[in-house]
Amino acid sequence: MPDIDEPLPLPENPATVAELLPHLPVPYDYARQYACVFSQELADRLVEVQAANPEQFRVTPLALTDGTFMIRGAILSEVPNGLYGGNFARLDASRFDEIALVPWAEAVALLPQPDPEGP
Amino acid sequence: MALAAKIPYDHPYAGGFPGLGGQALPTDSDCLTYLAAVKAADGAGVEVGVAVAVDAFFRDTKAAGVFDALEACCILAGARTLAGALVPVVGDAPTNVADGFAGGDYSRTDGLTGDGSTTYLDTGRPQNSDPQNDAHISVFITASGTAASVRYAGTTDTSAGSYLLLYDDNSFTGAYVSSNSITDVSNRTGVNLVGGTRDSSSQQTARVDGVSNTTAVASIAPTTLNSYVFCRNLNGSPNAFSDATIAFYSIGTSLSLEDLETAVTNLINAIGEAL
Repeated sequence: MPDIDEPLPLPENPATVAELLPHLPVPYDYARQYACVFSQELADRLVEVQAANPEQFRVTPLALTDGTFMIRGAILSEVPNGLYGGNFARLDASRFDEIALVPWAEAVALLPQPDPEGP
Repeated sequence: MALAAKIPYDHPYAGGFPGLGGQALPTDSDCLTYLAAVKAADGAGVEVGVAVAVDAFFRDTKAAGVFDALEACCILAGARTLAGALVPVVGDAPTNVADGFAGGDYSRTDGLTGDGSTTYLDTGRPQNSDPQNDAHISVFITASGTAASVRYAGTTDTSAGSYLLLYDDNSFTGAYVSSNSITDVSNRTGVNLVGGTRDSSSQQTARVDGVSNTTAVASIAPTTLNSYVFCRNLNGSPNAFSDATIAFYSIGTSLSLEDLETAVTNLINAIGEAL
């Protein structure tokens, strides 16, 4: 009989944010291994939700070179009740299975290369 | 550090227990306003030791004549949580723009560490909020990052050709202040204060890790871009991220970078001792 207070074991290779919902908030060192990657439609929706609630902490989705968008997985250590909890609660949880969890290094490799313009 | 210094600064016995002597408490009115805002964000007041360190920072910067030059400023240390650390010391810098930072990136003694790829702070302060010939920008770095070429804070508007920027590519480390030419403090790594200031149309000063350099560089009209911290705002987008650990930033009118460095160094050291 497991201890009632024992946390659920974290998935070793979660595919989407939906898989992590029962575990939120996940530990920072676990969350930072991943990037949350999603479509432009979801990126636009996130920006829209945050714009409607300007008093809440926000995070800006960054465009990747393959047309998708990303935010740090580390923010999953700050929801549902942490820094980003205010806007997280306003998102459509039924679409969290559309937010892929990608290994951090793989997502960073898809960020545009630093622009050499100017100093 | 005595146990009494660990009591929240607004505890009824913060000044001391009856019959057991007393300890100093913060007194500066601006500091008390700031500490109250930090408490609201954190959910609890900081310890007496931290509060007194912050009080000394307010007092010392006012005595040195640099406090009034701080227009957008955050102490990214001392507060109990990242939310508290993002409360502005002065001005109306946004308190809710964490842009990907999480509590795990924050150390109460060392500051906030960038990831070098995505995390930054938008100060909400356009470059042209300060006069063309009366401006400064600074960060206080407690640990250098691993990235080879970074911008610690500022703006790059390539169409206007006017930059407010703290620059480090391991060859040049210095600043642009309403200009398109760097004042380099050569052979320096960006640890401790990195800053730039300008109080005339003809020259700007950069300070890196205790050394200042002033060069003749003509000013150029500032732009409307907001300054970012942990990267530059390149024509409206974050770019050239740093993974350094930053414990303080400020933007505003011109000031003595040496006096600011002294005050911030004392602040960060005192916070470390208090915790």
